[in-house]
Amino acid sequence: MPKELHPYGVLLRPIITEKSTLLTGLDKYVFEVDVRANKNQIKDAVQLAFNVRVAEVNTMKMKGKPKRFGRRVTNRPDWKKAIVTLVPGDKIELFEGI
Amino acid sequence: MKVTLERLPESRVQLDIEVDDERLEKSLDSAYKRLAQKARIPGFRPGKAPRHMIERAYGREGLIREALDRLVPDVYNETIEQEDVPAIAQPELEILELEPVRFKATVAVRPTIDLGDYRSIRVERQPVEVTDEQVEETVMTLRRRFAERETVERPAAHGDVLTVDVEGVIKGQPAEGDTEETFDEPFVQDTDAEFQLKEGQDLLVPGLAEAFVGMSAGDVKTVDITIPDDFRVERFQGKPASFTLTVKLVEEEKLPEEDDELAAKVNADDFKSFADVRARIREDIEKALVEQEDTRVRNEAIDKLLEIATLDFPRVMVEREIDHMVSDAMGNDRQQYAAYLSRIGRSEEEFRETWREAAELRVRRALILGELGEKEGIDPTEADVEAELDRIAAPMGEEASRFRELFMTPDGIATIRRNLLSQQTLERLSAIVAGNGDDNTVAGATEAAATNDDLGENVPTTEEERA
Repeated sequence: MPKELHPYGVLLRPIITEKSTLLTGLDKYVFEVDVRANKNQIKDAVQLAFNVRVAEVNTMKMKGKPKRFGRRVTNRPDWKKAIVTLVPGDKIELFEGI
Repeated sequence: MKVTLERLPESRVQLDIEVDDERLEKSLDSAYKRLAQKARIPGFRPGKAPRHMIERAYGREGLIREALDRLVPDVYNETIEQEDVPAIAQPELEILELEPVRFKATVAVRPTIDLGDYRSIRVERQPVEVTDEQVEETVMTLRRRFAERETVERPAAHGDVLTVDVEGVIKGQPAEGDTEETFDEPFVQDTDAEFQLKEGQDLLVPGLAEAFVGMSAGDVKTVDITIPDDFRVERFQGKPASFTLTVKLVEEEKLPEEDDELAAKVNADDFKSFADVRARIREDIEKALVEQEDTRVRNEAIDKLLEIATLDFPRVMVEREIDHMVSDAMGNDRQQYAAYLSRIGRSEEEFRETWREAAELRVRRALILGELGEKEGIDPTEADVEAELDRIAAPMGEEASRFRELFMTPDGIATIRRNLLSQQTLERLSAIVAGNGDDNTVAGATEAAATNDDLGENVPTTEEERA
């Protein structure tokens, strides 16, 4: 049963790192997404937001890292990372800067 | 590259340079690489961030500014070369625009020197004449030097040498309410002072010397003299003073006769008779006068040269000259220099300013003489340098060869050459102003002198002339 999740709430932020920049060359874009979102929702959200065609979505759940406050150890929240592969030729301008 | 070149006064050139886009792009690329190395951008190791990330972090302007650090000097140097600007100092650079990159460079260039019609300069030599008085004066000095003293028991007269004690006090002015005691203030105390009584001579205060006339050995005398108003110590000016004079010894000065004996005493090897001494004295005076006249003619020639020449030289040359003069005068001790400045109560700028005029004159003279030497093709030969070395080493006697070696370094030879160059230039100048500057063939010192001799002109060459 798909949860009630508005497409605009799916994509939280683009992940821009050395690795993700490397993936851009393969038409893959990396996002942090809502943990509840599934691949279909992510595909829809990306197509809607950037007006591109999505070929494939891979997701993974990232475990929050343990952080220490003095003696107390707490965990950062878990999150979901999505690697979105576009149809060759399509681009997301956001990652190019400008 | 669009370049506008403009000449400014004080021998400067202003360049307005606009950098081509292509050129800018290339330098932006390398600027990005440099910037990336130190940029810390989250998600990237230093040096690994892509260009658009760097540009976003620093802005395009930031990137351009980084590029300018290298771009501007590079472009400047290229332009200097391309436009053949004879720059002699570091430029002042000012960025006018970033896109496209436009900047202004102001740089001092080699001075322009136009000597004008320097070959028409003439300076008239004054004939040198040795008067009998001048000879007599020197003879007297010589006789005095060999004078013998004889203690006499008679009142002192002019010409005698006295040994005296002098004690002087300023007479005190008892203030109201004070007792009768005087408030004498010590003014001078001198024991066993030796001096020669001369007509119209002033000793400390006018009248004091005269007071000794007529005193014999053993006499004591008190004189009252009012200190003159122009006395060098202000608080003593105009005060009445009392001096106690004690004469201990009166000696008469016995001048030797002008005879062959004296001649032998002066120098037995050189002089057979006193007439020889006289002849030598006359000769020496003439030599000195001729030299004096040489210097005067030369200085006048240089003044005239400066007058007709047109010079445009950069300020930095004057500044550098001031640097030299200050360090010549002050040595290299910064601390001492600072202490001196605070003692005379001036800032460094003010102090430097006091040298400016002299420095400027030196720069002008150096430039003009340098140009003159060049124009006249003066170039000391190897043989000239050798001869000069011999001349310098000659008085060293046995040490001569060792001394020569000291100078046989590239630096030493360069120094000698430089001295010779300025010496020969000045000689050439002397020849020109005497109307003998027409043979343009050689510029040797000996040749110049020889030419003068041929024409019967009295233009001796001065031995010492430093730049």
